[in-house]
Amino acid sequence: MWRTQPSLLNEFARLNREMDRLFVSMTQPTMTSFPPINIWLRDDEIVATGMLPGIDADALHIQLENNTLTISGTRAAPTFEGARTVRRERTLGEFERKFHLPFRVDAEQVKATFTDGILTITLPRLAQDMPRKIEVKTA
Amino acid sequence: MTTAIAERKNGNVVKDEQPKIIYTPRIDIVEHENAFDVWLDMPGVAADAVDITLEKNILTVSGAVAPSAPEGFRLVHREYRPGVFRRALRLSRGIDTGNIAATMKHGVLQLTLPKAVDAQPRQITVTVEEESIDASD
Repeated sequence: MWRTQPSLLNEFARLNREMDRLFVSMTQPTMTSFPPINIWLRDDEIVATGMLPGIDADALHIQLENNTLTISGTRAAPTFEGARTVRRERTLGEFERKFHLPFRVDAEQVKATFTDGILTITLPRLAQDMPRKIEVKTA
Repeated sequence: MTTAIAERKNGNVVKDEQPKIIYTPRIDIVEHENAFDVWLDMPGVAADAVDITLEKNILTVSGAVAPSAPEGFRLVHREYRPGVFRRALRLSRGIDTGNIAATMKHGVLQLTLPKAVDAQPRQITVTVEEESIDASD
């Protein structure tokens, strides 16, 4: 009987640590949304970068509608016959993020690249909305 | 839920500095009859930037995220920062450490840790090191 006690305590300690870990990851806003996205701005262009590890380009959808950028897709979970899962932390399955952009972009000119699990979307501003310098002419 | 991105013209723009943040890559471990498969999410880390070291029975994986900040842009919405991924695994006896294989694809590091042929299968484990690793460097 006595022998089982230390391992039980260890188990409680482990559960405690696990709860701490969950709590910490919940209090960090960056960890709750998958994939995490950064948005960069210039007067004539928006760049969105995101961490999307292990996602195939053809499993990713980028949509633009009424100035709302939608990044969605599926991250497939590997399946094995007769294998045992020891640990599972990675976010798998379907995901979707939506961003309302600060200005109208030219949907025809949107480009996306994917390097080492980092997605980069460049969204040029609509040409007719570009900030212009107005020449002041002397009369 | 849609996140509204405001065009902040003056001030209040987030700085994208402090490249020394240490991330703990999320990990999946699966045990097969003859080997363990391990996946670590390390987005932004190029294949040649991954560092894998084995010291005694501790396997440490690390890699720096290549900077993705576009030049001449202001960061107006941030959900991640540049940093370094680092995590350690404790390998029990019975892992054939001479034949560990590693591949990097789309920012995911996959390790294959074969079991030694003559080892007792019940005693072989791969566990995540829970104690924090020295991050002072």
